[in-house]
Amino acid sequence: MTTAIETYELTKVFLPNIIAVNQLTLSINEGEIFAFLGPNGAGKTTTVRLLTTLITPTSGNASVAGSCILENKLELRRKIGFLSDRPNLYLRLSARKNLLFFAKMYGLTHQEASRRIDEMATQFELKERLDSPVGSYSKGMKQKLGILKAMIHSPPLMFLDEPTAGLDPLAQASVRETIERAADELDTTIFMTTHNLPEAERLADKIGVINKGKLLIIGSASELRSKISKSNKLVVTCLDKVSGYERLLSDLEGILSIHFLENGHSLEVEVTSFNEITPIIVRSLVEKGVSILEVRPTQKSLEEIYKQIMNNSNGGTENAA
Amino acid sequence: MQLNLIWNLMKKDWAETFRSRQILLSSTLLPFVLALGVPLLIMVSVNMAPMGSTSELEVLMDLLPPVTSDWDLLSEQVKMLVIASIFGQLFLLLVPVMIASFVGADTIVGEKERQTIEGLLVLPISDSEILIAKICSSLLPVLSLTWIMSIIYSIMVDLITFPYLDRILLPDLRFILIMVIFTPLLGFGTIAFIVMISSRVSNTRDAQQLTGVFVLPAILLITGQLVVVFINLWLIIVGIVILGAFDLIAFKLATSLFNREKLMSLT
Repeated sequence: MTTAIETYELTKVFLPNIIAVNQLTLSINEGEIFAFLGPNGAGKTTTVRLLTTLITPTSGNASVAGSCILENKLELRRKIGFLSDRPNLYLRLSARKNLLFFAKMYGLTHQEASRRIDEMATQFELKERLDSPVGSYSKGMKQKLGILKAMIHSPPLMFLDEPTAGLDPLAQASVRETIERAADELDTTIFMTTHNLPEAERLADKIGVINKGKLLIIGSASELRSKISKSNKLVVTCLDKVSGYERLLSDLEGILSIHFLENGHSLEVEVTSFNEITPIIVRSLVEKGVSILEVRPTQKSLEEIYKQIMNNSNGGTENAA
Repeated sequence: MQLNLIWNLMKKDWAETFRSRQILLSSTLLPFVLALGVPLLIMVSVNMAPMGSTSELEVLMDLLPPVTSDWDLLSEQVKMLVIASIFGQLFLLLVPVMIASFVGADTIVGEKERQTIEGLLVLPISDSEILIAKICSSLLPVLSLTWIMSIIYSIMVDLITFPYLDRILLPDLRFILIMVIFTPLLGFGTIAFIVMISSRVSNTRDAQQLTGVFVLPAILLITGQLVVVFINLWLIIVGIVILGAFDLIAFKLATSLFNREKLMSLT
């Protein structure tokens, strides 16, 4: 698989001595959607600015869409689409004029640009408002238009910096859908920063977590879970009430905790290993004459994983990948 | 040099600027008042001046080189009218400087204030191309306005002087050189300085204040001294060469001080 973004010990120090990004090394493959998570001031936006050549690294290097961020800046910029946390649109101009301007800056002819704008406006339901000044748009519509601006020249790589920040849930959903459709339509690589964890889990193939400029962990959501979570949970649902079997189960080896759910028919068991412990639990209950209806493994939410990573990071325990 | 991108950026700037009626009105009203008012003022002043008793004025006239081929045949009053109409061209020179002070000041810092600077800087266009586009998008409308004004001014001056001279005074070669080469060069250098200021401050008001405090007085002072230059064709050519060098220095300085990182840090 070809690499779309590759960074090598990328570092940015702002004066007087603020290390915004600290020796960041990561690799993102072509066609992947990468979500970059981290608290405010963690270094997400600085990383995006470094990779889009808006600022220059203090040390280290990166290759973006095959171009070096230090040398081939104009060539690199031609190959990327960019949306910052503000949509960077000219409010006095209409959406059409905005899109035409950006399309031409990427070398499209007037004809090509007009055709592309009409196509995109129809596809992303903006056609009716295409000739209205962008200043009259809602925040959600502006953000959506910002994404269309970023994809106007069909770039192989798009950077979206907090694309759904400050939007209401409906607008967030609409922008999320736009990102998914953009990724589908262009088969483009997307590097996005976000605070929205369910959004990251839903959209991203790969997730990276950064704090205080340092990359703490990188991988798919399931990889993150297996790296971070040393325990697994399973929910056992029975026909009869099982609250009387706590002692039986807690005596078994490999069980970390037992939690009975409210109805009394289900229990949540935290185990060291699904494969080894699940048959033992099932056998023990069946031997006691319990009728088991379902055994379902549950997984930690990304939010729980994220909290744990942050706790570890702030407590000095690193989980760097 | 990506001329198509420069042109596209200029067109975008114009589309934005001319959407604002305030900018449009404030930038066109003053020049037209000057174009119409200055010749009228000259005519009234000359007619009201008590000729024959102003020995100091006569001395000044004698010091001046012949402005026209029939200079010696002209009466003192007509000579004064001709000289005043040449000096009046100074106001035409000031138009691009004055209007540029508030149009040019907004160019870069305005993008910062309207939160569009990141979107602009991430486009495949170099620093010098952005600067050229920004300078030209301020300069060309101002120049067009100045040229329209100069036509109006010429017509007004000719209407006033024709009865005395029995021929058209403006435009002559000197006037054409001043308007077609001298004024654009002066405008380019001034706007380059203003755009440079615009790229180093955090808001338009700061840019306008700095322009008002440092750039405008300097340019007005220089322009004031140019009155003497206007009288002699060779001095105009020397002035053009000096202005060309000044423009080059101003542009180089603006390019070297254009700092993307600083622009980003102020967003």
